[in-house]
Amino acid sequence: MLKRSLLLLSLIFIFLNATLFATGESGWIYVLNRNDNEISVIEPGEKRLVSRIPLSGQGPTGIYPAPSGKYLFITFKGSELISVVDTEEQKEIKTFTAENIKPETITFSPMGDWVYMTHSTSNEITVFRHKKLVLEAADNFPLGTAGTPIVLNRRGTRFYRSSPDGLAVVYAKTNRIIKNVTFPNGSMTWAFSPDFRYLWGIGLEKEVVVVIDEKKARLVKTLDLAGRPQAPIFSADGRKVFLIYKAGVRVIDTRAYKQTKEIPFPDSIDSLAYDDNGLLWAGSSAGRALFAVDPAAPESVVRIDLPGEPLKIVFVKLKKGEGYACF
Amino acid sequence: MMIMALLGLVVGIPFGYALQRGGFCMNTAFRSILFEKDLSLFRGYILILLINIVAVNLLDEFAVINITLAPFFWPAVIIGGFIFGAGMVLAGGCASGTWYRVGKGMVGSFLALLGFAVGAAAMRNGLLRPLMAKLREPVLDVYGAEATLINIIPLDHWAVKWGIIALLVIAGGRWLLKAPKQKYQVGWSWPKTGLVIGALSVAAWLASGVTNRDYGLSFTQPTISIVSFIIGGDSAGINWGTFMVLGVPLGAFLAAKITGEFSLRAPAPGRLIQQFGGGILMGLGAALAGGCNIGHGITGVSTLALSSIVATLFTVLGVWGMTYLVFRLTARAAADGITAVK
Repeated sequence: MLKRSLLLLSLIFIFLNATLFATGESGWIYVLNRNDNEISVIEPGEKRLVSRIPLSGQGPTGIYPAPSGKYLFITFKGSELISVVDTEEQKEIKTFTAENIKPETITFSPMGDWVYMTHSTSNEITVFRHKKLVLEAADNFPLGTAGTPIVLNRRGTRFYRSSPDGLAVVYAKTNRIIKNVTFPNGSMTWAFSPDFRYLWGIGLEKEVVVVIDEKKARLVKTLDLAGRPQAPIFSADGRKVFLIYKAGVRVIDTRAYKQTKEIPFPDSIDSLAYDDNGLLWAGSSAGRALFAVDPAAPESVVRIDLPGEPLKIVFVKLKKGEGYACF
Repeated sequence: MMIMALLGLVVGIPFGYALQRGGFCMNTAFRSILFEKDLSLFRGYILILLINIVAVNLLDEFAVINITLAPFFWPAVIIGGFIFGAGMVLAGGCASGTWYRVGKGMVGSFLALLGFAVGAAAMRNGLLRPLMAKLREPVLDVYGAEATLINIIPLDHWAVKWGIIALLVIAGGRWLLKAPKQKYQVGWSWPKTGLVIGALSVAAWLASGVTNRDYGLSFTQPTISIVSFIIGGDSAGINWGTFMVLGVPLGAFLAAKITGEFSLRAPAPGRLIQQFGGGILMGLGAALAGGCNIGHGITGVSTLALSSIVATLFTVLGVWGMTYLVFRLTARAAADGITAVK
């Protein structure tokens, strides 16, 4: 009886679990090229160009991965067109127009069910419901400073945009400002630390980096960094932040708020990404090249020549079975 | 990975040791309040909470750790908490109690653990995932911030936070200090158990934080991750929590060996099946609610998250409801002249 029971229980256990688990994939580097209207796909392990994805639009300006990693949304200069690339099929599968909006940036909610588009011609933001690549406009309102992107918190319940006197904190259910963290450094472009506790802002007008504790809605640090820093990119553990400046990449220790290293590159750098394997990817439009470097051993830089001038780089990995909190 | 494993085991093994020596099981703690009028284990639980509420919020205030809260998806939290509590009664132990009793050699607890893993995986990753997603759609928040005892009061955040914590510590501390002396005990007393587990729960936040996991002790997700790895080869969920959980039966085994309490024991087949079924209910409930008696009951309640407080209250109701039902059925069976399940 005992043996039979155990056998039965084991069979139930195996049946219920055998097909339940999806595994992730290793990810790809996608490089949006400035002038040739295509995306270069790089295999990060082998560090080589594996395919090129032509786009329908002219003059791409931004590349925005959906949270699942399955789709990339691409915006075009002065255009209402949005192109969608399927990362599994590695091809453009759809284009659509965002009526009366010339999108500057696109931001997805963490579950991908809401899409926020900032306008290139004003400080307006349009919010869409998103389901299976169908966008339905839900709200449109002016907020913050034109030309700056928005960032969302971990659960997408609040979003943040640069305002003329600081940072506007917005409740995503009502799209109304609930707080404004004030400081005197003008417009900023923002990025969340991986633990979503700190917002790092890079000055668009002043050579300054500010750090805000999101939980306390308080400015905790201001760093003066000469050389027009751009693009705050975090290491996976959040302990380093990488900032582009004209001669290369600065590495900042996020605990001490001190620069620990400078990584020089053979050509000037204008775009940056960090992958799951701890490699830093830097794009040089002047050199028409992509550089891969391990920040711990910056002396060995791998160069990959590109067919076009890299404008934006993203590391994208398919995520399956995620999105629900459980402790 | 080595550091992660080491840090997980450094907390998990002493935690398993303390659970075994203190006989700390929240199924027993909650059940005893109503049916045995014994508050010893419950006092230990309150002491753990008071230590954690102060220490964890202080560490977060100084940004040593970063408290991450479960969203308050209230239908899932209420239903899941109740199912988890009911399952605990049938399984004969809570999530941590089941894990540590495996190290003590109890075959029934091992089956309850298998059931827990099956139920949790089915809800989190499998056939019941759409149901979970539906029940988690309505979420209560406070202007985009997670609902906590502190956030729901629209006053100065810092003053409210430490005011509430001070009130809880004074009220809880006074109640504990008035506790009568335990008449008899096996293993550690409740103050010793509470102090040791309380300290380990705080250490868990620190050790876990080193590996970039912004949470303290928890059993549900680590159990799911272990099953995913064993069956599906998916190592994505392996983190500090996984190794901490694996350390618990090891620590309990050590404690049981040292005190001579270790022996392989299997109850009657009927009871085994009941424990397995109870384990499944526990897994379903915990995965639905977003945590178990530890993830919600200790770690979450310490952050004053409403989701964890409500989940724990409904777990208690589940324990009381199922205990009452089991007693009624047993009594009726006895009255009908049928031999009750021993």
